[in-house]
Amino acid sequence: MASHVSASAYSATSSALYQSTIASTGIQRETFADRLEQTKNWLYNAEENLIMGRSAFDWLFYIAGIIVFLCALVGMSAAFCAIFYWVIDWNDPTLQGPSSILQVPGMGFRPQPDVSSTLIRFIKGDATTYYHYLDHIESYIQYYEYTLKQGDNFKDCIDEHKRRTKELDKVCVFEVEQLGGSCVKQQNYGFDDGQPCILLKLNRDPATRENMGEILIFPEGGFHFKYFPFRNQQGYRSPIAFLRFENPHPGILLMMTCKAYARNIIHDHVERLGQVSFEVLVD
Amino acid sequence: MAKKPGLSELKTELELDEHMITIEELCARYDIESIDQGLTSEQAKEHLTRYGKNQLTPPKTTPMWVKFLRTMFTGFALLLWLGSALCFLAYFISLLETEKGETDNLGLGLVLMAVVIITGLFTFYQESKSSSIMESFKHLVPQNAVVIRNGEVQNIDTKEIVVGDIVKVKFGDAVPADLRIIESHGFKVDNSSLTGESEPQSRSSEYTHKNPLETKNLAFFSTNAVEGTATGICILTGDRTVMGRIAGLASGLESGVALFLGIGFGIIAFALGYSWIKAIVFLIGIIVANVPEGLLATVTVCLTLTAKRMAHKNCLVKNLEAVETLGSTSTICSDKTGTLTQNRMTVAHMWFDNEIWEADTSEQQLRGNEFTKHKGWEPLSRVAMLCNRAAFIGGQENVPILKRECNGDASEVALLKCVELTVGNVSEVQKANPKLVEIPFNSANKFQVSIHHLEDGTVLLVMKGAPERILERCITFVDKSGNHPINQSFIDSFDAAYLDLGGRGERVLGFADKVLKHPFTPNFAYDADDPNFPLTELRFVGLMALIDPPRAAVPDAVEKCRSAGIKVIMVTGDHPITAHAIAKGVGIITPFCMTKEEVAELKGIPVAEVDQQDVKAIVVQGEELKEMSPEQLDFTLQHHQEIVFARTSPQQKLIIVEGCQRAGAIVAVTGDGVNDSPALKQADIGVAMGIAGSDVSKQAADMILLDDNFASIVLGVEEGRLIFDNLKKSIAYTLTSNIPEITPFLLFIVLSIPLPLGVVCILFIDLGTDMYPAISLAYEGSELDIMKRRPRNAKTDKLVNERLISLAYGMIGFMQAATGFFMYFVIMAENGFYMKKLVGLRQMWDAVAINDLQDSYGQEWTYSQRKKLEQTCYTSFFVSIVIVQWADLIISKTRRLSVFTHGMRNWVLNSALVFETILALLIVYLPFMSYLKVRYLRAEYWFLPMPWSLLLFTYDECRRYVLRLHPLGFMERETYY
Repeated sequence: MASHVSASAYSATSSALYQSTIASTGIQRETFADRLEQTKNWLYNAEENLIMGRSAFDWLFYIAGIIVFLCALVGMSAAFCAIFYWVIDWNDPTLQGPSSILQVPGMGFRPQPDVSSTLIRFIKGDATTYYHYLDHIESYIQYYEYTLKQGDNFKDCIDEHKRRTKELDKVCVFEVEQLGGSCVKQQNYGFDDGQPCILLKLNRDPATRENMGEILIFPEGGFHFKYFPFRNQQGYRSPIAFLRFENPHPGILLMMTCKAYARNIIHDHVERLGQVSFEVLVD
Repeated sequence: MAKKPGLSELKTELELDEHMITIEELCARYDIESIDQGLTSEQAKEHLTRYGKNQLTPPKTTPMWVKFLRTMFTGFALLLWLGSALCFLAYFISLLETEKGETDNLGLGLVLMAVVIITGLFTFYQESKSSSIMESFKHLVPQNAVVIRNGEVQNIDTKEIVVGDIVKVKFGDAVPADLRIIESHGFKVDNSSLTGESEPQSRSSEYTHKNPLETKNLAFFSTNAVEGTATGICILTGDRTVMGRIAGLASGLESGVALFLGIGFGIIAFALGYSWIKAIVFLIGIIVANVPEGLLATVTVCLTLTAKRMAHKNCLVKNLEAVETLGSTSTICSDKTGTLTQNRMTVAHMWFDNEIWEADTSEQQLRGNEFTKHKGWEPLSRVAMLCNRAAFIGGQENVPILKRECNGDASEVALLKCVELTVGNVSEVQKANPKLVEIPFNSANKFQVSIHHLEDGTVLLVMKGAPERILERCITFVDKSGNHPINQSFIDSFDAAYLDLGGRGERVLGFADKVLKHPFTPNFAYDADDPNFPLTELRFVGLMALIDPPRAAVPDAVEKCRSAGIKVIMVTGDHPITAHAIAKGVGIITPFCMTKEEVAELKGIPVAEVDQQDVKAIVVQGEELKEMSPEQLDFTLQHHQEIVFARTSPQQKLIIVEGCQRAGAIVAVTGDGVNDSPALKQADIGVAMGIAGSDVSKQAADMILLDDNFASIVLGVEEGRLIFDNLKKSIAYTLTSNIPEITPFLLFIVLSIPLPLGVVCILFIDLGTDMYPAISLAYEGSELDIMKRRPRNAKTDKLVNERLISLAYGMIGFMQAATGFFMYFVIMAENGFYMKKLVGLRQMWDAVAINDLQDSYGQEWTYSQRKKLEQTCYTSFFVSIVIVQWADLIISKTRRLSVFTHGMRNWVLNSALVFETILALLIVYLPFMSYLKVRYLRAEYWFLPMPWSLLLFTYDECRRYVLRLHPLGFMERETYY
């Protein structure tokens, strides 16, 4: 059809036509001098007394407008936040129990002087390769040893063997002695003999605990449920346990995954719930 | 179109002898009995089956699947594909390393892929829809040709032309097939579509060259006739035409330029120190957040919708972008005849009984005509009926009188229709009072006379013509009280009436009659060539004045243009008085604007002494225009608000258009003739007439008015403005959410807080929940002020200006970001991390090895628990953006009006609100979404952002209230986009 062909011929020439139109209207491509002039004019337009496109009065208005707007916005946000922080409980997290992400507690381990790595690597007998591990364990143990253990909110739990039902606001004192005699500072936590002790800790968590699983750890019996629940008590110390490698094979990377067992602890590899992983390499 | 190698190839290939043989041989070849008779319809039918239809096989269009792949794998889509591929790669690498791969990379990869495919499908659907609409437009413009078949002149579809047809071509037509010229009158063709030569070439019946392209006696398909007329025998049709062969030779050379920035991003990624895969995913997120993905789809939807609406309003847009230009039109140069007027002479006034009577000139003529009750009408209508050579073409009894086709001169048709409407049964009356003799009108006599044998037996002579000539021949006149001899007072009142009607730009005719006495009986041998009967001492019966009246819709349309700041200039070949009268009639010249002559008359001073300040309107004659220098023309155009150009030639139209463009105007020009095409091409928008327009003008135009009505242009302007407005609104809406998408990244870096919003959620917003609402703004109706604003300055007023940015980013965007952060801090605090604790926490938070990070309550968090919390924050941030975008969508509906006055009638938009919410619910609550870092969200978190949404809405309503309260005030200067 005629119109079809000519229409396509047309689109091919339309840009050329446009160019010629521009040329015939006498509108010329702006030169650098033109742009410089425009910029100058933008910076200060003497004719209309405009500085950067606005009159002095407008600038005043503009800046005031921005300030008012920002103040109002910050004020509104602050008001909303104030209401929120007024409503929120400062002692107990709002989300507890089933609605909390912390429903399943996590586990940590020491020594971990470098937070970006989970590898514990040292040469048996060469103290220069593991003294920083020792320091790290030591400082953590001290956190348990040299703190206040007396007072209204402390309770001696040596004789407790069952789930606590009363005085939940009091802290069960965690005695370092419970960690046994094999993993002590005097023996450099077994690192000298190539039998390193790794400290496991169960995260502070509002949940209650059931019986702990069968792991060769000190204290025997693992984390006792008497230390739970954590209710943001003053002086609370998470239960800890030492794990001792009796005879790690030199030069072999040991990839450890420690799981805490309790009725309410589910394990999920992807989400790394209720477990901690680290690697030990004794050279 | 014609490429050089193609042309040379063609020259060797073309083996025609039709131009060399004699016409008799040619006729014999096609079994044509005689040139006058043409083919019989049987022969035509047979040829049609043998050679097929006279149309080019459409050039092989790109197959659908190629087009589809093109939308899928170009530009932005390519980037998303790359991102998706990298995510998969990252997943497989992690799969090899740890046996159990990182599922979030897999998820992100899948999301990106889904996004590309869905947006690709949508764009493809929209594009094919709009191109099919454009395709249908092409078929709307009928292509007709005049052929001789069975000895009759027939108007047929060009597709039906067959070899051997005798085809008549006149200037302005496109040559419908390859023709051997057998007869021509000053015939010239424009072969530019075939050979690239733009100079018109004359064509005649002589054989001048062996080469078919150069011989004078061939005219080719798809070329245009620009001057004269010709008759030719069709020798080739359809694909066998010369043009058809060239079209076949021209092969498509498509080269898509893919803009690719991947390498640049790779370098930045390493510089930032992230793992390369993470960095690229990160950057894809930022790019996605900043590119208004919905915009392309919105533009296509806008244009498609508009094209549909325009076609509905009888505007046919040839290229969609023209609609947008139309919106910024600031000057319309319009033809008079047919565009502003109805293009049919109509009786507007008559004068009898010493009084001027007005006749109804509207298109429908429903008003009763008062004058018919008066006594003086009877003799006048009798003369008008009898002294008339025009007649209705038979078989139109059911057609309204005004629409009936007639034979005869335009003035006579006007008289015929006038009396048919008022008295009726003209042909019966004519039959009952047979014509005995007739002297037709000629320019020497300036009258027309006929003698009739009346029913009552008398013989009546009736005469009409130039009023002064008629009056010369009269001795008596008739009024209510009977016949009187002509005296001075009658002559005075006649002069006054004649001057009055003439001053209205009307063509005035005088009427007279005389009852003939013996010997002029019905049997008398009347001689028309040498009149042997009296032509003087007649009785004057009255005057009738005719005009081509304005179209009913035009005055409103002109008024609309004026309020929209569009200058309407009338350009016509008519007499200045007629032009001035019509300009006044349609409002191009308003009662308060006076021309130099009018001012002079009013003040009683000579024209030369008129103060230029008083003159607002001007009627420029073609002669004056010819004398003007460009500077003088510029002065004329700029210093008069209301301008009429009269007695102009089409070439001068081009000069006028250029003058307007020099003044910085965006000019729309109407035109119908061949000679109008330079002006149509020069104009920013060329508008051709669908009914009266020539093929050439239709080709040169950007837009075709199917009903030839000026009012349709104004509707087009309105549509053009609407498109621009809606695009702005859509952009303002889409851009706003960029701020709440970018700020989390910024604060993540600056304040070292855990990341509040992840990449996947940004993708969900930009390519999911924001998409449909952004497109729905294309369906938004126009605001009330759309035709009351000044036209957009196409050079300075851009689609996206700093006011739009300052509103979308600076105000609404920041409020949205505040909402998101509020939600982030709420979720964090409710889980144990207070705002104070979060600042500076990023490194600890993101350390995989730290599994006992303490929160504000002393609870200890493992890495995976923290990430779970972080993803809950992403989700709530996402939900809060969705909820504040509700308000943003509603405030984006209007730029000035309150939503309460504008209404919520855009149901596409309303459904978009619902869609957006449902999509967000699905994203949050579908079971497998945790793989995409989206977490289950407690129901109350959906309600927390709602007060913010309300606040946002209230803020913008207040802003627009201030805007309306102080037009052109500070608020408008700073925030009206």
